[in-house]
Amino acid sequence: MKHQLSAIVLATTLAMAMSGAASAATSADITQTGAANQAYAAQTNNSQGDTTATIVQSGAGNFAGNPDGGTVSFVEGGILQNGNHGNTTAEVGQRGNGNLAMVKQEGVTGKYGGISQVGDNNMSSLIEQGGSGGGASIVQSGRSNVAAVTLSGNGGIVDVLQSSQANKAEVNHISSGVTILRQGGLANTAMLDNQHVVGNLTVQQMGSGNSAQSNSLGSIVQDGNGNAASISGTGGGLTSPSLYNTFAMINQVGVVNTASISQNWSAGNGLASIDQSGRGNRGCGGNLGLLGKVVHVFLRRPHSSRPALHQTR
Amino acid sequence: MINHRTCPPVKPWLRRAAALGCALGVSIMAAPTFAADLARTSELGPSDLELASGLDARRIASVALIEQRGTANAAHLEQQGSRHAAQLVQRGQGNVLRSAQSGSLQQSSVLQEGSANEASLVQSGSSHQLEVRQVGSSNAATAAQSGSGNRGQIDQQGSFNRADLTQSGKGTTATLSQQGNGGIATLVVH
Repeated sequence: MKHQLSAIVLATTLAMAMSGAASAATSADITQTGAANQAYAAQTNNSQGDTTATIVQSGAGNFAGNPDGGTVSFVEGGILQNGNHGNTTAEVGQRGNGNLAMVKQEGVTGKYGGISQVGDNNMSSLIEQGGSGGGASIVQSGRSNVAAVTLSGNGGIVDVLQSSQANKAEVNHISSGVTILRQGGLANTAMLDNQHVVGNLTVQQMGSGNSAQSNSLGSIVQDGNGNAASISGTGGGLTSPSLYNTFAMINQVGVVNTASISQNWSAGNGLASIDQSGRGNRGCGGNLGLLGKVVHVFLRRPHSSRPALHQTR
Repeated sequence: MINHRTCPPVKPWLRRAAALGCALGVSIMAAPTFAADLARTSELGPSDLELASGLDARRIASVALIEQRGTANAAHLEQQGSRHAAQLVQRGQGNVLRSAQSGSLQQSSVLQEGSANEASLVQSGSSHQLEVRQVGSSNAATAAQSGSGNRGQIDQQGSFNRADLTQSGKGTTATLSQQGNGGIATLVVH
């Protein structure tokens, strides 16, 4: 009996030891230290367990992309994940100047893509297509950085954070979800190029000389001087506007700011609101063609502000 | 087993070493070319191998060891079966190393010190493990693993190195690490 028990224990131990190497999760990690390095990771068709890819680069002029691509390609992706099941994660971290990072996730449900860059003149591109419940995050710290996010699939969340100056961020969020785009510093540019979106879209800018633009709906909050905000939605921005209530809101604190809202839907209910606090601000809002529409323009210093309001039923 | 059609005549001690490797289920082909060349194979105890290479000694049934010093050397190793281990060392420049393992639970450990070296490893089957370490510049490491539960790791120190690792199968782990400038790392898992 004792020997039988020992045999069972031994067999179990061997089975566990041998199965340990065959865990369901698939992981890929690339680490590079130095300048002008290139990294490319592709994970496709993993039908079992979770999939994780990580690229970490330290140095200048690094490229997390297809080394055989020759040119900058937003299609290939520094990390390409396609057709995987389970939770799929792709993360790129770069420290230095002039780096480029690209992530593309396709056909994945339960996916997360994250890019973090510290330095100047860096560029990030993150694309998530298909599936649902995606999460996309780009964090850039430095000057003259560029971040671009494209996300499709219901319930997706986009979070972009840029600090310092002369940064640019563009988010194309398709279908429902949440977008938060935050910029702190000077002369930053934010653009929401959204189509068919139902959800919360928010741009927050802290600093001066910034500009923010949304082509459909959402809210823009700016704290500083000489900022410009614009929300413009026209035509068939939404697939079925009558099903949704659209809102556009701009809140500005500071002097010599400019705000503009223009909504022109063939159906649906709209809300346009501009709230400016300071001197020398200019606000312009209008609803065209909406069934039920409300326009608010708040100017806290009317003697020096020039509002304009236009409504047409 | 030594392939005399592709390899030049070798010294008697190397024949005996190869015979020992054959008895262990190991096939070795080492081709000395220009400079001083040292190739040997021996049977190590599990604890010795673990200390020598960091491989998991508990999984090892037999061991093949190749060590070459000098320039423009070539080494070729083949292992078939289960639980074999290979430790391949080349020190110098312009060396070429080829390794092929099939079966299951095979392990390869490669160390190349110098510049312009090339290592190519292929593992087919399941639960394999490979580790390549190159110290120097303009080196290239290529590895392919097919099957489930494989683990691959390539570490390179120096400039203008290239690392390529391809895995097909489930539950795989891949790690590429480069320190230096102008490196290229490509990792494909499908």
